[in-house]
Formats: sequence, C-alpha cells, structure tokens
Amino acid sequence: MTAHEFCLPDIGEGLVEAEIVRWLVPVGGQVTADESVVEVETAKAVTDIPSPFAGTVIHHGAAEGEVVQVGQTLVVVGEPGDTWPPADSDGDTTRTGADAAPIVGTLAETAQELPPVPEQPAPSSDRPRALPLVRKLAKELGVDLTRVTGTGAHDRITRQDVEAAAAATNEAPATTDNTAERHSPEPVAHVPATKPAGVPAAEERRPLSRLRRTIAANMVRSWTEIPQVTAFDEVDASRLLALRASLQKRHETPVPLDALVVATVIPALRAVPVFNASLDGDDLVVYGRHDIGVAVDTPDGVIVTVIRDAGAKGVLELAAEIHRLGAAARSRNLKPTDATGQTFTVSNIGAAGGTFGTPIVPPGTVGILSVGRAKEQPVVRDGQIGIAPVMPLSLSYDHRVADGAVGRRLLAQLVQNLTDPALILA
Amino acid sequence: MTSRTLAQAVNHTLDRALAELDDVLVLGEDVARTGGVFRITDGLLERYGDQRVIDSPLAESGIVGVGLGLAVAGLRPVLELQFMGFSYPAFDQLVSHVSRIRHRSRHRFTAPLVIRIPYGGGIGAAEHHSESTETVYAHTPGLKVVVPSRPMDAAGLLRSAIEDPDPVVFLEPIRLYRAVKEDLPDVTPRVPLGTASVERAGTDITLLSWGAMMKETREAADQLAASGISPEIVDLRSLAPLDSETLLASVRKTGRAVVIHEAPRTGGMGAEIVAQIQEHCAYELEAPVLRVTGWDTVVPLKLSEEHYLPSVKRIMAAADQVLAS
Repeated sequence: MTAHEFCLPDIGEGLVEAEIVRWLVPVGGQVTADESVVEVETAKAVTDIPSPFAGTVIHHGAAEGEVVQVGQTLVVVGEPGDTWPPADSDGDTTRTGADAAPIVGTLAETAQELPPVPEQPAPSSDRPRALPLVRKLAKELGVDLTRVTGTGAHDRITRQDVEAAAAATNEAPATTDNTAERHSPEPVAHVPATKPAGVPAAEERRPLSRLRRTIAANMVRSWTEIPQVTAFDEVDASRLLALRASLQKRHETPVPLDALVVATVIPALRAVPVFNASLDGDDLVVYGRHDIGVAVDTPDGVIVTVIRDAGAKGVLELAAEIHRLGAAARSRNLKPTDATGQTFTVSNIGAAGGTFGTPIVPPGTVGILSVGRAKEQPVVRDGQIGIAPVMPLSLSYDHRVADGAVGRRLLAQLVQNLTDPALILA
Repeated sequence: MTSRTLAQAVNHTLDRALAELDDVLVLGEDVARTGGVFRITDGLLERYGDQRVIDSPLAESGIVGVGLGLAVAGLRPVLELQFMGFSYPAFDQLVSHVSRIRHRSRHRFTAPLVIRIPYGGGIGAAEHHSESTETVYAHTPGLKVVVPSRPMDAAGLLRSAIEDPDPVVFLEPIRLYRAVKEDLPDVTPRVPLGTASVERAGTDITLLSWGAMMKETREAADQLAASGISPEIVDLRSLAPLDSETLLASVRKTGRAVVIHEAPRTGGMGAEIVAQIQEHCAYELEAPVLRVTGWDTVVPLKLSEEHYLPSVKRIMAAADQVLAS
C-alpha cells in the first residue's frame, strides 16, 4: 500500500481554504514529482499546485468548484489498484479549529492528565545550619551535627563548635575509647525511644547533657558489640585495709583504696596478659604497658580517668595521680590524654555503697573490675569462724577473647593479690 | 469543570476576558482570521469582531509600539509575538519604552499590556522558532515575566496578567500546548504574579524548573520516588519577580537542589537562582546546587533537538550526583 495523501498546505498569508478551479490530472492519470496537478483559487490568486509525489492519481479531495480547507486531503497519489480511503482507515482524518495541525512544527498530541497540586505545605527546617566546609570537618572528625549547639549567628554551627564537640567527646567519656591511634570512632545507631502505654499526661521532658549522651552512646556501642559476662568473687580485705592504714600513717597522706587496687591488679594482668589488650578485627592487640582506667563519680555522671603506665608507678605515686585525676574530672578539666586509651579499667563502686555489680566493658578493652564495699562478715580461717571485712569483686570481660577458665584465672590472681598484698612484691 | 489542554486554557481565558472586560483586545500576527498558528485565538474573531481581535502586519516592533500607545490611552491590549525568536524586532520597544513608561511618567501612566510569547524547543521547527531567551526579559526592570507549565496556571496567570496595571510578558511553552491537560472550573482562580508553586512536596531534594521542562522534571521526580527518594518539585511560574521566598524555603528544607531550564546555560535564570541559594541557604546546603540546562549553542534543528534539551536522563544524573554528596 503506497498511496500518499497530500493535504492542502498552508501557503501562508493567513489563507485557510482554496477552491478547486480545474484538475490538471484526472483520477487514474499519471503525474511526476513537482508536476502541477491542480489549479486552485484562493482569496489572493489563482495558482497551480504541484504534486510532491510521482505516480498515479488515486483520488481527488474535492470536485471542481468545491472548496478544500487547509489540512484537508487535496489529492492522493499512489499505484494503480490502490484505493482511497485505505481499507483499514477510519475515514476522515482532517481536523479543524483549535485542534488542527499547527502550521509550524510538530506538537505532541497526547495530553497527559496532570494530578491536582496539593495544598501548599508550610515550609519548615530544623536541620543543623553549617557551612559546607564545617560539614566536611564534622564528617572527618566524626561529629554528629544534630548534637552540636551552634554559637554562630542564627544558631549556625561554626568550625570552633565542631572542634570543641570533637574534643569534648574525647575528653570525658564514661566507658569509651576515642584515641585516634588505637581505635577509630564509630557512629552508634540511634535507638528510638518507645513510649510505654499508660504514661501519665503530666510529664517533664529533660534533654540529656552532652556527657550523658556520650555515656549513652558508648554504652550502646559496648552492649551491641561485646558479648560480655561477669564473674564474681569475694576477698578478705583485712590485710589490704591494714596496709592502707600503715601507709597513710607513715606518709601522713590519704591513700585511696583505688591506688592499692590498681597496684594489685598490675601483677594479675601480667600473669594473664589477654586482659590488658584490645580486640581489633581478628587480631588481639596485647599491650606491654598498663594504662589503667579509674572510674570517677562526678555530679554529671561517671568519668573514666586514665593512669598512664601504672605498672611503673609505686603506690604513693598512684595515689597522687588518682587524686589529681579525680579533681580534674570533677572540675571537668581533664586533658584528652587523661581520659582516653585505657587498657583495663577499675571501678570502685564500694565508695558509693555498692557490693556486686555487672560493670559494662568499655569499648576497645577486654575487661573491667568492679570493687564493692568491704563489709564485716563471718569468715572461715583455719577451720575457725572469725569476722573479717569482706570485699565483693565483679569482673566483666569480653567472651570473644577469654573463656570462663581464663576469666577465673584472672579473678583468682586478683583475689590472691588483694587478700595478701605482700604477694605483689614478687 | 472541563478538561482543557494548556492551549485550550489560554483560549478560554482570552474568551472570558474579552467577554467580561470591555477594554481588552487581542492583537498580533494571524490571531484573527487564522485563529493563531497554534489556534490559541481560535474562534475569538467570530465572537468579538474585528475591533477587538486584530490581525497585525508582520511587524513586531509595530505590534508592541502600537500596543503601548493603546495601553497608555486606556485599553488593555493582549499582544502576541508569534515566537520568542520573532520578538527581537520588538526588543527596543519592550526594553526602552514599555518597561519604563511608569517610571518615565512618574506613575502618571502605566502600560497594562500582556505580551504573549509562545516559546521553547522540542517542536521540530525551523530556525527562530525554538529559542528560550527569557532571561533577557526577566533581566529588564519594569517587565514581569511569567510562564505556566499547566492549564490551571495558564488560565490563572493570564487573567492576573490581563488585570495587572503593568506590562507582563506571558510565555507559553509550545511543546506543552497539547501535551498536558487538567480539569478546570469555568471560572479559574487567579494565580498571583510572582508566586511559585510547590507542585510536589518532598524532603530529600528540590527540583526547580519552569515551562516545558516541567514535563521532564515531573518524570524525573517519579523516577526518584520509585527508587525511594522523596523529591520536592518547585514550579517557579514567575521569572520576574522570582518567588525567592518559596524556592529558598524549599532548598533550606531539603538541603539539595537541581535547577532545570532549556535556555542556554551561561547567564541563564539558573545562574541567578543558584546565586540566591548560595547567598541565603549556604548553611543548609548538603551539596553544591547543580544546573541542567540547554547548551551554549544555537538551538539545533529537528534531528538534533533531543541532544539539546535537558532530558530526564540528564536530570537524573544531576540528582544522583547531588544526593550522593
């Protein structure tokens, strides 16, 4: 089927129709390309129209004397035997009026139905405001901008705000380890709060302090990353407390119990070195130096301070260091080196009256020892019942690194050292 | 309610304006007897006569110059410049006189003119018929420039433009004339000039566009939504004045933006928009703002048009880049 339909073209000048004056080629006659096929009269002139196609004239769009509109069929040229309209067409394909083919260009004719525009929402933005450079810095330092208060104009977060936030996170964690040289800080998944059913209508909403948020983040990290267990034991602390009293009397200086505990922990860690270590992927990094973390209670929350190279310090030195660190922690003046990177942690919960507990292993370490208050209790010595100050011990540790037997071994060493401090001399 | 294409919406709005406002007249090339080369003014001559619907000579400078005179004399001409590519002979009249008559007369006279200009490519036409040089008119103080992308806005903006005491360049995206339709009430609400529309609310990225490119922008938004992104679409609708309040609020909300226009890149309206964004939203931006635009070339002829106009693919590439930052 090769019939070509030639519609009356727009010959310009606003002409919309033409009257057929005379057909120059009858139906069935032959016409060559560009040969005049019909004479038409428009409002302006009588003119010949050439056929763009060569072939046989199949159909005249109108008879002589009739009017053809622009866009309507003028003539159909094809092969002998072609019919017009073609058998499978649906008849008149002309369009008039507003839908007529445009004179210039081709327009898409299928109209897409547009859904109605919704009610204009009120714009709101509670996202943190910070320059791109500051955002980049925050990303590098691992600072969450939604947790930083901006001090710039209109609450925008400045570079200084980000740097301070990064330092503060390093400074005062409870159970955290942010030293860049040992561990890279990891973002902690935010656990959404769930409101229990039946909460009373009157309630007070208290935003957590930055320290509290930091502690919370580290607790979540430890809880989700470390499969930890706790082993318990008790110590007859008579000799320990007597030693402490002697030292205090001799040197006329208070000696905190923590100093003695740290001094007795060191040899135990030397005997069971996997507890003075850090799990890094599939490697256990065992440290030769003992940086012992000591928990300090402050009004804002627990802060772990770190005694560097505790193994090289005598008891009095440890005592002095613990005093210094405690004061700095309570006044929130800790330097980053005093607050991060412990290899093992000691927590004296007895000072607050605690007994046994299940301390949480600080992320990046393997174990933590909690020491409770020594209480006068009946004990058995050489088959006889006596009274002694009994101190509860709780040792939590990372079960990926140490099994129960290893945990018991450390605990046994600790109990021996604390029961008989003279043992640490050799 | 009647379903109307963008072309029919303009036709209907002109019809109603001629019926209700005695001082409105329609003037341009082929608007009367032909009913407009895209049939936008079809039927108006028959209904309102040749004193209200007037075929002009082929003289754009004259159309605008005479239009200005008629306007200052108290009528409200709705002029047509048949294609944006034909508007340049009238440029001097528009920029040197129409835009300044209020200023020049110290508010004694205004020019309540509407200059309708069909514009934009993607219609396979010859040279001069496809350009998009709207920035030039938006840059001219004293001219308002609006561009609808859907029938409801075409009707609402055109009526507001006709009633505005100052000159309004009313751009009609030719490619969308019959490509979009909407249910319109017979009395369509006016759309205030100088207002943008948040056509689609979202939270992740703002797509800013106008005119025929809204079609590709809508498609890109659908694709983004299908992959889990929440896009916000702002149809600017008005290039002069720009609705900075709406567009900046959107960018502040999402922090990420892509501007899409078919006009050439350098000095296009996208540049002005991005400048405003960095000025006022720098602290909320998560990523640089990207522009997807026509190239800095003459609009090509039919066979190469698809390479010139921003495609959905190009918009998606820009959106992906902005979202990845």
